[in-house]
Amino acid sequence: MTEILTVPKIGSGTDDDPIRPDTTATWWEMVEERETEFVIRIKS
Amino acid sequence: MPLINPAAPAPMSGIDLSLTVPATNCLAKLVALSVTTTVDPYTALVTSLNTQGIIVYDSFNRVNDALSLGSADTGQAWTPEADRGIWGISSNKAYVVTHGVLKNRIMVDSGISDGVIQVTVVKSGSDPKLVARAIDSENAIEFGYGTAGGKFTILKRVAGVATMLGENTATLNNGAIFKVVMNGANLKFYVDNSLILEVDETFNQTVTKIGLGCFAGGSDSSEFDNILMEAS
Repeated sequence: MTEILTVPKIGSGTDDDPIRPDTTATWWEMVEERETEFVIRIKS
Repeated sequence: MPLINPAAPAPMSGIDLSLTVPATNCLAKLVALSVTTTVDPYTALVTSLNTQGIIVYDSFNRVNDALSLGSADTGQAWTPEADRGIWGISSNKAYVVTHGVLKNRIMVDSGISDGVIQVTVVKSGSDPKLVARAIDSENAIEFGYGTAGGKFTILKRVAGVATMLGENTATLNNGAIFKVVMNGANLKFYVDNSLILEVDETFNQTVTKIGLGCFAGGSDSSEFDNILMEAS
């Protein structure tokens, strides 16, 4: 089962610190990228 | 079984010629050619692969080379970029001989943007990647594994800025097969035929270069074998 969440962006965009959703989920995938946040799908 | 050596084609006539693509993946095919007229066997091989939709194939089965990856079995030249490492051949596998100033990448132009790409990651080494939809190393989609963090990732790189599109914590075993299925904006990342990640991303949707990447060179390099791209 998956869940859709909107979470802030973190990261600087470098290889070691890519821009990514602020989540601790061990599995997620992108649904939508917005200016300051991501909509992601996580397993729950 | 090695493919025919493209460096030494010889006219052949009235023979049957067969070859086997390694049967380690779902795309394995047995190709049988009947040659009834004088034909360059390398040209016949490539034509047969292309007829089956296999646009790029490289077994990397050639003489060790510490300076160049050469060309794929299907003829496309592997194109290095400045500061992206020196790639070469060792024991019939591709690897980074010398780490570049920037992350190591090497590309080949498939000529198609949709299809299935796969490669065997013989040795995980350091951050192995399949690269697709690439204009160059700074503008591409990367399907890889972060060795330190233990995560499979899909990453979009735009003018060098990296944005993670998805990640999945899992273990990468040596010998795993990375497979990427690209259909328009939909991108699926499989490892050993298990779906690891799936995202929709329109960036570079019609761009046709694919390639390999890893973080380190020499004994810390990832090692790759049997890359292919098949049209969908």
